[in-house]
Amino acid sequence: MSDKRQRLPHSPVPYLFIAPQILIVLIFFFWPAAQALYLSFMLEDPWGLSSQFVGFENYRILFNDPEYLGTFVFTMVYSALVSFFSLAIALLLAVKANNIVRGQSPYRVLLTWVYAIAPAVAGITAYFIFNRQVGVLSGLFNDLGWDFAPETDGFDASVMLILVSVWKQIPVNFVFFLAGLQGIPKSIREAAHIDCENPQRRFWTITFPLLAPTAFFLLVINVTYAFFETFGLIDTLTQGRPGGSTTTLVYKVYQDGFLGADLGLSSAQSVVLMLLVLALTVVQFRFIERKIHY
Amino acid sequence: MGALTLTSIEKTYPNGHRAVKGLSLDIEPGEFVVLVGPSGCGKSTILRSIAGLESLTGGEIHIGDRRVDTEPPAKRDIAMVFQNYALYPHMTVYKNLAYGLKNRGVEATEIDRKVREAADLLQINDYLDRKPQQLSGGQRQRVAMGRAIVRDPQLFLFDEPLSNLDAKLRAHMRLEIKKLQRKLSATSIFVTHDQVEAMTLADRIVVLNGGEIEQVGTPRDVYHRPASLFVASFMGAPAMNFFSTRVDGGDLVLTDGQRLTLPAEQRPALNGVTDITLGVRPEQIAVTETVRDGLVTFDVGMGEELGVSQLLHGQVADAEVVLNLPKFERHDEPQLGLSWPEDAWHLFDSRSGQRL
Repeated sequence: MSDKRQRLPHSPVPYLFIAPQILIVLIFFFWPAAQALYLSFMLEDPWGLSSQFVGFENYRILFNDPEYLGTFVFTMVYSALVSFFSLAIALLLAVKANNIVRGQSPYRVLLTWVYAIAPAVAGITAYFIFNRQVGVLSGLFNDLGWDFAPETDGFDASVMLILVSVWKQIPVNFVFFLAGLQGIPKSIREAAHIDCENPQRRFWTITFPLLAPTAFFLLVINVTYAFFETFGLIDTLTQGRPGGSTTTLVYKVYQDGFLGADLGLSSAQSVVLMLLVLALTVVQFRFIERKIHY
Repeated sequence: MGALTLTSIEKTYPNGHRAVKGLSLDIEPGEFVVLVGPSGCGKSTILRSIAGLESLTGGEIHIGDRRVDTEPPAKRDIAMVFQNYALYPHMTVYKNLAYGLKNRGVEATEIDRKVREAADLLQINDYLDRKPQQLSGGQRQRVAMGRAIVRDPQLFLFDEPLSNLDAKLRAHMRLEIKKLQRKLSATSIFVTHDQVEAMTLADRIVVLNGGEIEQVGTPRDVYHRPASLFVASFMGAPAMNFFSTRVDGGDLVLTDGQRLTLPAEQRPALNGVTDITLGVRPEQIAVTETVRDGLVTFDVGMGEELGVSQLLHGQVADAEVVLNLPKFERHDEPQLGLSWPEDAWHLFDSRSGQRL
């Protein structure tokens, strides 16, 4: 293609304007990432006084560790379930809330304000709700015949963590889905009413495809949430217990690096995590976004 | 039994606004009826109630001999063309046309046949694989009509479908809709606020005001024998001129004392009413350069040239009057004499607004 664009004289002023943003990105994202990459090839003593280059030793240890594999599998299953349920429930709630004629705004506020609760606070609240002695839900599960014991049973602990994570994430998804629904022109919904009698069919053939851009955006956000932002929940609720069965990759980075003081191994984990999230995002954009009509 | 029967339908919104006040109408099979009126006259509400997009608060709607006002929109056997086309943006033109048939369980081969037939009719075969975003306004309009046609419904509803098009395309599509309607002899209801569309498209015009019918009639009827002051002022551009007069013997007296002799055959119509509003269409008024007895004195104001004719603004007895004159003539005289033929007199009761 020939260069037909008008060339404007360049001035350094625009670079000045974006400099703060670039600095922030460099200092808070690239530098730590580079540091993690560097440290993942080093072996450091717990006091940080000396370090030596060990090549891929940290990675070798990591990939031969069955515990790490368990954490990896748990993180994948946990993220998939949290993303799926928080998206599905939020979509259902948004569709229902969008159909409400009277009292719509109080209803929306009620569904949204969980968003304002900090993850750590949500974790502590959930700790009491699921507590064996005083917990409401714990009591309910026991009454239903389920010997609910999150302190000792890995499955029960995972269920608890997933429930709380989903509950915490629903409001964000709800707000976006509701906005997406309201962005669908009224006349298109009406035309669909004339063309299709079955409400479910109408939803899947008209409403859902038109919501797909929102849903895709939320999918990326939710996977990131499940990977990273659930840290606060895990730290207050289970600390990865019992026996590391609720440890996600991020939580393990923290445990090995800050509690275990093994910076090299911890850094190697962050590098793996970084690559994993990068790969996931690429996959999402490559294969899912393509099917979306904007 | 007509194609569509509205029996004293009413629509009162939850906020208490009465959009439609007990309206009844019969539409014959194959008829093209245009609902026309200013914004807020209830025309769109009526159309949307027929479609089932609004629920009535009173009355009944029958399509053929089926009562439909309690049925969901998809079961009424109607098709609607929306103002902004309302095409499904994520589907190709083909899928847009096929969607309604598919949901009704029509076989794929049958759908294909019908879609191609409609596409042929509307000359949209070339862009069946395109998405609505890739089409121009006129093409989208055709697709929207195609979506209605493939369904072969008992009733077509048009909700101001031409108002998003530019003037030239609008005139073109107007003619196409009319041709298409004749060809398919499809019973159609068309809502518009544009009186030119109403006049050109309709077999019958329904003029609405404040949720009630002002007049139902052929375009000719509505234009030449408006039933009320409202219809007379709404239909026709420039609008009809009105003079407030008082009856004195066989004469009408204008507010400034000028006397007009009423044509003999108009006198019985007065029927004892004394306050009369006289209406005369701008194009029926003839101008004489001298002011003399028997002619109405006109104070000349601004002129506007339209190319095909000339509008001359001015005043008669302090009322604004517009003349639509066929020729370009400069009028430098401060005053002119006006006259109009006997069939140009429209008499309305000033109190009730009804035609006499």
